[in-house]
Amino acid sequence: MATRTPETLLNLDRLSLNNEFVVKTPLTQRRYTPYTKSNQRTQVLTKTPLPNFHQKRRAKTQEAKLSGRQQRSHELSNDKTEDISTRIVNKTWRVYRVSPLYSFKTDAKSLKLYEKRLNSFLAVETCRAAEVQSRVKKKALFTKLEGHTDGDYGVEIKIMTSEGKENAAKEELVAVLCCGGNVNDENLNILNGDLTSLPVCLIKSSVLLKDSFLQWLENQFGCRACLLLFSPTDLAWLASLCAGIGEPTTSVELTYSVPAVIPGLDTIYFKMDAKDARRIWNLVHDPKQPCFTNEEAVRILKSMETHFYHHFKVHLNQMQLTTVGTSVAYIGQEGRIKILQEPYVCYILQQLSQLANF
Amino acid sequence: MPGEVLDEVLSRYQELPTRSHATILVVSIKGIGMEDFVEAMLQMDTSYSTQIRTTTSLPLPKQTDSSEPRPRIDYIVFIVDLSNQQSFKMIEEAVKLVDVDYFLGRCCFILSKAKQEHLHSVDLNEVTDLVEAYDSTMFCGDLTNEEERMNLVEKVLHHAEIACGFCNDVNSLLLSTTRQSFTFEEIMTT
Repeated sequence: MATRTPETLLNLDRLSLNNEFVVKTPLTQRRYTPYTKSNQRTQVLTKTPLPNFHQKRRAKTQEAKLSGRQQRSHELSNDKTEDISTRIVNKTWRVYRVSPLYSFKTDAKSLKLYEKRLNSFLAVETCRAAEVQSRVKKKALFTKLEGHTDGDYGVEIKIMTSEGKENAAKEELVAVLCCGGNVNDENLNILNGDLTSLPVCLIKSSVLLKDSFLQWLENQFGCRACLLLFSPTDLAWLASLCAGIGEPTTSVELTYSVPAVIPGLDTIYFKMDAKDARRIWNLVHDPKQPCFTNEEAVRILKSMETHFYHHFKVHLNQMQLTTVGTSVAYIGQEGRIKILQEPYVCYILQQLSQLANF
Repeated sequence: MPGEVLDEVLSRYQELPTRSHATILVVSIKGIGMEDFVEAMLQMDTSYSTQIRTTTSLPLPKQTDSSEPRPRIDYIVFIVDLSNQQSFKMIEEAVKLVDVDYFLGRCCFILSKAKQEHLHSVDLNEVTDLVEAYDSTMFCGDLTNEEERMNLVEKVLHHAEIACGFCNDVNSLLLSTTRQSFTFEEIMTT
């Protein structure tokens, strides 16, 4: 008993940090165990700027869409760049977070080079994987995508397979590496010339091909890619943010998973008309403020949960939020996302970049 | 009614101390692994006898049976499951009803599921702010994981042993006064 020194008793909890799923909320600074505060870290009130164009849009959506499309087709004929929104909208993606890429360039020449490298890599992989399917040929295609502002840009990577001499090529993998706006200025400053930050990678593909693609990406650019999982805090925040933007067309849907302690009940599906959700949002949010704060987000979700308790006597705050659906986007806890309204693609991507960035 | 509120506050000086016997109060909502934690704690081999009382909220109910009075509570364990908002809310309410004497090294906060960040429903900053405001010890670990649970049990029992005065040369006040400087050093070195 006497041999014990205070140091051993005071041994603070130290957990290993080899965390498989690293997710950061936009609301908090990422902190490591033992989670004690240092002097440098100061609590900042978290604010998210709202998309400033949405009032304008609502008035003349049709016009804007038309002119936008014309402009885009014009761009298409001129240059090889394409709009990022049209590529991403209305598709279900898996979201990956990617650490900064080393010596990655987006000019046409380098993209051609990457194409070649990926092709040869895939050729080797397919040979190794199955000799039976050796006739299957895989071809990669890189395209540069552009968003509304200079900050939003991305690179689309497609892998097509063509069997034998058939001309009809099938899209096997579509990946979009993108960066949303000037989200994290301090982080960009840290990066020196050789590194490019494209923190979000949206992938749509089979598991096998995705694995080999990510392997190639990691080896080629010295980065690390892992699935971006959304914690219930993130989802709640995204849900209340999305409830307030875009056209309120469909309903706001929240799926909660019930803890295993309660037998016979797995999920609670909570659906609410988007117009009602918007009404709550307008009550909570001050229209003069250009930013949406964390407190407002908490209040909106809490009011919905209180409403649910009033009718069903179930405390939703004891449940885990797993999926969130709004008229702008569907987001699942396991990193699945579908953006439904084109004007907001870049805005959602900005939020994702913020989530993926440290 | 200040008098009524004072009655509800859990104080160390309401009862007499017991000899070679520690009473630990665990404050936690149901369904976050508290039962397993208590079970593991009881199975540990200690030089003193332990009694563990659990509650799902504070204040404790009024004692009705006067023949068997409630023993003095030597140590309090607050359990927060980070994937459950309700557990945090309950703890937030509960700490207000605890005497300040307990926060001089006689209580600890356990943050369950701190490592599984993708399950967090409670903002970690809020929790750490609370723990910091009460200037108490914080342990992180998953109560549903066997190994981590045993680890936590050992740590908690160690602290409880000191809080009861069973350890020579160390007392809880020393523990709580030196804690800050040690954590600060840790940050400086890492």
